[in-house]
Amino acid sequence: MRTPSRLVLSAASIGLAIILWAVVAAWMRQPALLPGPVLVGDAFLAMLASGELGRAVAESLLRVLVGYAAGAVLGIATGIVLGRVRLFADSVGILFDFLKGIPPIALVPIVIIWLGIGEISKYVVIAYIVWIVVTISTTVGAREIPILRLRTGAFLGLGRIAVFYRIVLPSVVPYILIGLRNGIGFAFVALVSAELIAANSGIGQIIMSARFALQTDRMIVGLLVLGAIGATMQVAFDVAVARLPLVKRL
Amino acid sequence: MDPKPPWKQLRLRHVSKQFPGGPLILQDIDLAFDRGAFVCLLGPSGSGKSTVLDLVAGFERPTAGTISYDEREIAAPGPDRVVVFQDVANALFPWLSVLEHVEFGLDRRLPARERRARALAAIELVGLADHLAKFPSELSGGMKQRVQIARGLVMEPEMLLMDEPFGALDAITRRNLQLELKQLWARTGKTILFVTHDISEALLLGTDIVVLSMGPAARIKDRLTGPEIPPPDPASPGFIAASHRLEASIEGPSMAPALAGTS
Amino acid sequence: MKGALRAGGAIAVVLLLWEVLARAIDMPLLAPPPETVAQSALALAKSGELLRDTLASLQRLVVALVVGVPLGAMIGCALGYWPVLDAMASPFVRMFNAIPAIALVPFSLLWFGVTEFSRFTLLLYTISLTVTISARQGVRSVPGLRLRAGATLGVVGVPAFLRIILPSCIPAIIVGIRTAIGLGVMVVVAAEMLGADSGLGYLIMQARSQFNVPEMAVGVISLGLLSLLLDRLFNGAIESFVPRWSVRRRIR
Repeated sequence: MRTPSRLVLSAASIGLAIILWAVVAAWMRQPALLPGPVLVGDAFLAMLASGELGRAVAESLLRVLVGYAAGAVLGIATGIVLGRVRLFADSVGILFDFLKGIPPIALVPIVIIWLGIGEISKYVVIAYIVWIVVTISTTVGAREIPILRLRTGAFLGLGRIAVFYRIVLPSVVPYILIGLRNGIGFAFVALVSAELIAANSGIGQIIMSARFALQTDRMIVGLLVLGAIGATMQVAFDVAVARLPLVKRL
Repeated sequence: MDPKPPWKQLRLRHVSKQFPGGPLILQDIDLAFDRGAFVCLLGPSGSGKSTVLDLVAGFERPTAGTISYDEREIAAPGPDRVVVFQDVANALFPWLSVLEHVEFGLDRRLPARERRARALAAIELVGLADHLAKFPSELSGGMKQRVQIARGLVMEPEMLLMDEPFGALDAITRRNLQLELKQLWARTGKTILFVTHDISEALLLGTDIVVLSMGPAARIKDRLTGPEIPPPDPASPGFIAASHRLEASIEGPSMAPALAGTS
Repeated sequence: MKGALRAGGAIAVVLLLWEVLARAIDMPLLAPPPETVAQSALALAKSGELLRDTLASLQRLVVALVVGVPLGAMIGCALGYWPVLDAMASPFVRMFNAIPAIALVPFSLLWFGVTEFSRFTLLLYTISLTVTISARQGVRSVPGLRLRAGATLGVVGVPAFLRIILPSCIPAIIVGIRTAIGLGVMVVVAAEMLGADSGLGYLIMQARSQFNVPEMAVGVISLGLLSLLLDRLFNGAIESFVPRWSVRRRIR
């Protein structure tokens, strides 16, 4: 028998897992711990119909987008400066390694004390981690521009501004894209971190409140939806980037 | 062609170069070239020949001595002395097409049509007219080098500085490019400073061959000019004799007597 | 040496800026200047709390690494080597990877309560998953040429797996471990913040409940330093024990 195709195997595996899930859940008979697929499906539909899911997703997505955009822009600017200005490049590396090691969730309490439990805190925490991640990648790219490219600009007689816009920036773009890609995952981690602690709305709040109410079916829905939008954003990013004319040439 | 001015185009006077905290790379280099010469800098790896190029290009300043171009000291790199690098992967811009590459250095204030026309002329000279829209990732090594050459030529430089430009290419492409370069030189009358470690390449191309000794503190070991340069026919006795002479200058006694009994 | 000077200079500048800003804001309870935070740190160190909490977090992480890394490496290599297994496991690996581990803290608390076991399981899961993905990638990207080279020398089958594939994917596994350490710190802190009685995350939450901002700052800074230390130690360990795979050795 020839080995069935990947797709078939994956589909069969998913089907089997769902069946196993249902069996184990039925055998355990503790919907507070492990609700079966039917319960979770029902919860999903209920949350969808009531608009609760849509609202939560919209709120969370908005936070991610705002925080991500702010962090990305700042990260690109910071990275380019740190990479090109000799003075900074050598000394700030260790600072960023330190900052990167601070989990966003550890910052949430302090940020909440300063800025309250509203939207701003969440934007700040998300923007902060995205800023760090994007800066780190961008700095590497800005620092490692092949010297021959710069020398080419020199002998062709390009002024410093022209060298910056026409040689330095295009050279850094691939690194910026890597940083932006990494930033998506971190942005979601920061989002959840903020929403778990300052839980007033969003998907994190659904997950958190479901825990206390022992509504595990709603929690599982929240988790799966969270995973889905995170993965979707990454895929959307990859698709968008692949179409950029600049990238097609690289 | 304009009449030659009476002075040498390029003159190195007692040039030494040492990088801070490093060994002395070049010691007391004294050279002068005429306009329109094809000068080959020959030497083993590590002889500092690329450093001479960097100094003439203006990427580095000499630690001692002066380098003057048309009797004026060289202050900085410029489009009068364009460079063709060996590491073509890093010298080209992955995001530009062939045409965009060649237009890259032209004055932005020129009308687009004018820039395009000049670029096309240079691209014709190197034979890449059929590949205008291609990007470096779609070009072979030889084609990439042609792009570099065209990019430099379009600036209408006086000098071409070439750092082992054909070193990374396969033998057949190298031969073709050598012949094309020689023809290009004959047509345009540019001065060329060509760094290589390949003796036959130097003899095929150069009107002037300068041999550098092994580093550190490399000096000029030998120089062939004028009548000492044989016709570019590898089979001719003049060529073979010059080859032996250059080999001896570079690495000691020639291997020829030892090999004589083997063929 | 110059690098250390520059780094020291940068730190000094940051401390200076911090001092200036704190004075300008002039709300010592909300935005404590460096001295206040330092005092707090000293007090915590003296009482032994700082050390106790740091060690607690560190211990959780290390234990989970010791179990999770080999587990993840084995699973990952198996997935990379057997396409059938991979096809079956792939949807789940992707799904679990898409969900940030932090979001699972409430889930693990629900299942196992506020216990060490729940923190351990979550950490183990996170670390294993990360290393599994890296190891799998490592195995899949072993150049076919290497296996052919081995075959010409008579190395096939199980010996090939042990002598060619495993060593080939060690760089990927090393990257995986590095990532796992970073993620592990995040998860351990989150678990401690949402339900624990020790650890740096707990310290921060305790300080929060007392509105003690300097102490919170000590917790945050300690976390940063801990991560930095772990990162440098890990790189150092790779250099010393398995230098043939260290990044620095690569010819540029």
